[in-house]
Amino acid sequence: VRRRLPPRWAGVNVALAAAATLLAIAESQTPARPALMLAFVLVSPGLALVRLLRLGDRVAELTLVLALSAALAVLVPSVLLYADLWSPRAACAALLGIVLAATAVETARSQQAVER
Amino acid sequence: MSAARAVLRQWRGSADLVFVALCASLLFAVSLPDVDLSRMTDLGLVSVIPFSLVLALGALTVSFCLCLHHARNTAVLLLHVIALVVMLYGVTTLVAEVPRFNVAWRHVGVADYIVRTGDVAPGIDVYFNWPGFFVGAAFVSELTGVGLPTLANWAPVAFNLLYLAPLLLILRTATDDERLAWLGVWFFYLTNWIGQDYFSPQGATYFLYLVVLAVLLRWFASVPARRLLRLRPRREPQPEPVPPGAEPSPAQRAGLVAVVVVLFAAMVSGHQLMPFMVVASVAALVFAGRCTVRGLPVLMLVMIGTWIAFLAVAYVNGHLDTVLADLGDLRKSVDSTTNRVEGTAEHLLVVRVRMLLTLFIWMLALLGALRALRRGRRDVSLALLAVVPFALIGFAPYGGEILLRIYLFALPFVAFFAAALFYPVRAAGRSWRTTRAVLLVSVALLGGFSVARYGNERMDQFSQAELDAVNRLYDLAPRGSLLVAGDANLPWRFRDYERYRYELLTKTESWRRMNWKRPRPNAVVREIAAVMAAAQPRAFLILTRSQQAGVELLGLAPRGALWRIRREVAASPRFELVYRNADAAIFTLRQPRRAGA
Repeated sequence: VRRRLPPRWAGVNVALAAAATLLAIAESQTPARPALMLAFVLVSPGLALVRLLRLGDRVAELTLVLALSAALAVLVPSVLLYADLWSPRAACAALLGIVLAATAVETARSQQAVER
Repeated sequence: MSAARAVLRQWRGSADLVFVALCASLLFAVSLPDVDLSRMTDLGLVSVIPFSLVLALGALTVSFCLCLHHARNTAVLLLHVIALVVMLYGVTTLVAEVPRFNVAWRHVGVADYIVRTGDVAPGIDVYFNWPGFFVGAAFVSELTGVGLPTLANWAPVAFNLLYLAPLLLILRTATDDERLAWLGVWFFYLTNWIGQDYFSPQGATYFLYLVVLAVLLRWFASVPARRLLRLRPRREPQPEPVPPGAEPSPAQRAGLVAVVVVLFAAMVSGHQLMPFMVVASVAALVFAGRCTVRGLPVLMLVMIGTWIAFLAVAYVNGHLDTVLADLGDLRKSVDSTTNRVEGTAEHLLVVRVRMLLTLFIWMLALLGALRALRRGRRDVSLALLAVVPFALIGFAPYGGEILLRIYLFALPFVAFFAAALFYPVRAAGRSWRTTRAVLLVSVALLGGFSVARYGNERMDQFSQAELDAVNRLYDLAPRGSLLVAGDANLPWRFRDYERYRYELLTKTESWRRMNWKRPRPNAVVREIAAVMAAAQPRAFLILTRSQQAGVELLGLAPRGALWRIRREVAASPRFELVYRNADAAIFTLRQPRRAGA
């Protein structure tokens, strides 16, 4: 399979990250919380960043999405912990920031390509 | 959605084998209630597996071999491998009353400390000096609301499913023959018996290890102009496999190196050994001219050094002598593993099956590598990565586990070469004879795996009663108490990690000196009573079924020894029973009567 992930995934990804962060901040205990949060932690940040690489190989992209997301789920809370700022909600918000920043870069690049 | 539609379309094209795989999964699911863990012998899980469960695994294996023979599509192969992973690695999760393996419970305790305090305590033990995995687990548990024991329970299935994508990516860099790649993956799961995929830093960082190697092999591979070895194949050499896809642009290369650095940073923060293994593997690829990111090993070493110098310094300062003393001690590394070859007759059989399974897959790999070479294949990068882990043998005994870790690090590449024995080149292996051979080997590996992987299950499984007893222990014991157990094999240390001290009967002087032909359990009881009397504010002794199983299985004492000690403790006027259930008992010292009371 040599196709890129379809562009609508970017929107779905941002929506997932935003919903997860809202749930975390609101401390909502909805039954959907475990599945939603797990999907966010394991997929969202990695997906936003890997899309920037435009690799064009689905297995490779899936591998990197999972690995990058897992690595960021370790590194972002660790940085907060060593800075004496441990807060899962803050870490969640930081991950949302990564998703938004990466998606913004991707959107800007796509617009530039269209203008050319 | 288009991907889902494509998968469904592929499944429709192979409805017969999809049907077999789904039936096997269903049969597996309905067989689970028949697994009675309480009847388990020292052979482990295999002693209580019902025939229907064996049938389910057998049907799945036959179906997978037919998939390979008919060169069925990726989605069908994927379905079979996922079913295999759930069956092999999820069976204990699905039948156990509580999460298995005592170390997993301890890891729950470390992550729980981070949840409670939002901090690490490098002075307590080594885990807090490389806490990345525990920080991540605490974060995920807090965010999802899923308890740490539940995460621990599902970790083996989750980790093994995570390994699948990078494994496939690695093997596909060496071949465009899907049969070879998928059979390599299949063999990996049939031989990953060493059980390092529990709720642990090594289980998680192994995934990152695979991904780092996959990235380097997929996008940074190179073929040196001059070969170190000039091996002359019998047939015309095939061109070395070129990773699929277009050459990455400079921006993509920079991005991919950044990804590797981020993944490696997570590994450095999470495990002591794994980063060195990655450096060794990457350095081997670079020195052999097989990787174009030549500065990466140096950068990785700098990252490791920085972590040790700033964030693991508390541990290194206290243990530098020990670490340096063991460095390069080959005999100690080997002895510390071979010393484990003791225990009951059934357990010794399990150990022998483990050795045979290891030798068998290595022998298949060697034959596969030779056959591939004769047919003109040169998989130098994978061969290097299969051999490099053996350099760790003199690195450190690593608690007697270094040989097991070496096996694990080499396994993806060993499994690839074992698969290459059947499909050395695209044109080969199309006969029914090859398919029958693959089936035969798969069945042999499956049998060996079932014994090797779950051979310690009588001690690794815990009952709800044991967990209840340990919870009661923590309720009873004031902060700072001394908690004593017969052996470390019980689900403890998962609560208030920093607040208690721990002691084991098997570590006492009188236990070590005990002549088990004429045992005097009262000597152990006297010694432990003295230790407990000196402890402040209080001390408790907990004895459980799984401790007894562990002591017997590993040959630390004859059958029933720990129960004899329990009887001695119960009869002693110095102890009083404070809690008891079917699988556990908790004792404490009688409080001296106050004058006038």
